[in-house]
Amino acid sequence: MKRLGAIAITLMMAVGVLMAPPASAATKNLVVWATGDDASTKVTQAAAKVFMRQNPGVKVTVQTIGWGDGYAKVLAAAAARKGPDVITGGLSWGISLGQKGALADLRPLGVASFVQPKVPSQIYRSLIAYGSSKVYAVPYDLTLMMMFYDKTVFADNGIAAPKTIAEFNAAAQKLKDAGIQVPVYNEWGNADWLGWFNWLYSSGGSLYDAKCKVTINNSKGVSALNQYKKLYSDFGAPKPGVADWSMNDNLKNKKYGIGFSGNFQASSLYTYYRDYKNWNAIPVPAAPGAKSVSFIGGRGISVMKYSTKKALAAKFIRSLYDVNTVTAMNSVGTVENSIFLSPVIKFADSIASYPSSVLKTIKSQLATAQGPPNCIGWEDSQADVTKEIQAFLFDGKSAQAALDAAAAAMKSRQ
Amino acid sequence: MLAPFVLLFVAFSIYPIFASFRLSFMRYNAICDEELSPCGSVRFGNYYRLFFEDDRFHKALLNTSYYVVGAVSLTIIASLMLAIALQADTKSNRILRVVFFLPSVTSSIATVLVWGWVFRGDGVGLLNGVLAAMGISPVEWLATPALAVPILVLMSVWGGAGYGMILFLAGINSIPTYYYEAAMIDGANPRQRFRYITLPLLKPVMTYVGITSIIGAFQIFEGVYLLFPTSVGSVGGLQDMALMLVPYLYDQGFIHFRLGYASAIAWVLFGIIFIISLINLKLSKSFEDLR
Repeated sequence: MKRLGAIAITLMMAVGVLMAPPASAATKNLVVWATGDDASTKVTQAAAKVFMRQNPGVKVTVQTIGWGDGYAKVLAAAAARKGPDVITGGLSWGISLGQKGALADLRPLGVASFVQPKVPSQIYRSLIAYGSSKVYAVPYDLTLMMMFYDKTVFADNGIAAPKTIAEFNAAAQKLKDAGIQVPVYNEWGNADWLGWFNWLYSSGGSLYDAKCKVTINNSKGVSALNQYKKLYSDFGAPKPGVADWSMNDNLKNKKYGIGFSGNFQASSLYTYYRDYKNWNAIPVPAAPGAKSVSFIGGRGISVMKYSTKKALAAKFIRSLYDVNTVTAMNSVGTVENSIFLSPVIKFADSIASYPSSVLKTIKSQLATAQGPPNCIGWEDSQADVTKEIQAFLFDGKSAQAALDAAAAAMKSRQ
Repeated sequence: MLAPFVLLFVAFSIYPIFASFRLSFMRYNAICDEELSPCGSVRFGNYYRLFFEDDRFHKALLNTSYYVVGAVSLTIIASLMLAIALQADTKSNRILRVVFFLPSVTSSIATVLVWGWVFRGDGVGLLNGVLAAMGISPVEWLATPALAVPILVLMSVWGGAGYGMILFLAGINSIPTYYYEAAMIDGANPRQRFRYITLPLLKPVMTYVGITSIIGAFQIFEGVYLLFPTSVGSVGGLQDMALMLVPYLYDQGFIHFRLGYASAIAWVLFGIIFIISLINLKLSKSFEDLR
């Protein structure tokens, strides 16, 4: 009897298994690893919800991975060939992870050709390695360097919004003479290559030319670096280790005059400082005859090479370039202090929360902004370049010698 | 009975040691895509680059050397002084021993964050607040390259002196009292008793404290990572002023995923600690004492 009972139970279990629909037939699960904080994950989840509504039977799970160890986690997942189907991460991750074999080429998936005409060409290009035609990432969201100030502080001191570097220097000097505690504050990329990037490109210089020849140490680079030093030597910008991420508080309290930071601070000003209406964000200053070129960071989005749901992942990525999706994301973003800046310039109009002057700045800067270089070796050269910039800023090395050393390091890694 | 332990020990200790040694001679990023990023032997390439080409490694090695010398010597001196000062078994000494030992059992992350508030350079920091009260201009504690290693040494001594004190106290209390009594009869003063009785008989403890402090000092990580961040994809602070070996290993292994190169750094670190420990044992002539 016991044996018969066991056989019966086994048969029932086998029938149960056979009768049950396979899990994959009921729902297709897409796992997204979103690099950032929980707030930005909620914004991505808003896009996932729109996608799930449009695609019944699909479940999109969005999980947060931190900036600190996100890159390593994605590489670990790639090494184990197990983990997310889609990842968002730093703009340069597409090149470096793609070259390691972790990511799928987005061209055969129909993502590259779909996204390319929608986003500024220089931003799209910065995600593709020089000399390669493979597209491992497309822009997901953008982080844009801007110049922040308090309108009453400027008005009280008779300062008009500076457009040129000369006007900026005059404005900073007036703020200093007026006794503003910190006339200039350099928040994002403080004393490193990223903070200098705007000054370099807005002086007509560059890190590399279009063919990835190192150009950092030409006369424009030297001029831009000398100007960058003024922030610290003349206008009291706090060094790294002294500065903290408190620009908004101190602009509001009129302790800081001009602050350089990303549009994430505009998001914070909107979300947490709603009673504070006197802030403004304007384009970074430019040299005579040069364009105002802001550094553009942010995140790219990619499909993992091992994913078995590449077509679905590609469809999800394409859905992010729809104005309705972006509007849904921003309805969450405005609550969560994570206002989403789509790489599609015209979608900036969907950000109802910013003052029109700030939206104008964002749109104009996006049109000329430059992403990190796509040249081989840049990822590995960043620490060297920063070290040389700091040697000039704080250690008495000459600008030319510092940039020559930086150029040598960049060339050695090509 | 021992099989489960042996199995786990081999899987999680012995195998990784040999694997990392092998990796130190390889270009390895764990993905090893045959077309895009093949992994393979570079022979002694990683070591050659470390010793002859990598300026950041040299800076990390130099900073670590300064730090180890400062932190270990000052920790031993402070521990010994505390042990001697709190040697008598009184109620107040027992309370003070607990107070000095507390940093050793407190989370290192928490203490580093507190130190961060002490050394903040923008006028909000505790030290700068004290200086301001005395009419002295604020100091950029965490942005002045010459101060980086001394600050880390100070934190290390503060955190480790209590632990060393307990070990020295145990050592001092194990010295038979008749040595001191005989010395007093012979007319030895307190300094002579310390020099000719306490110090020689504390050699085994001194050796142990020295070696464990050296190993611990070489492994400094949290203080550098939390107090001296850089804003873009690196560690070590302004001009790499606080770059040390383990944070650099982390930078190479887990920010840039150069696991072969990071393994080479790990083996160099092992070699340095091994050689210094051997020298320490030789110098103190304590092989017999430790047996």
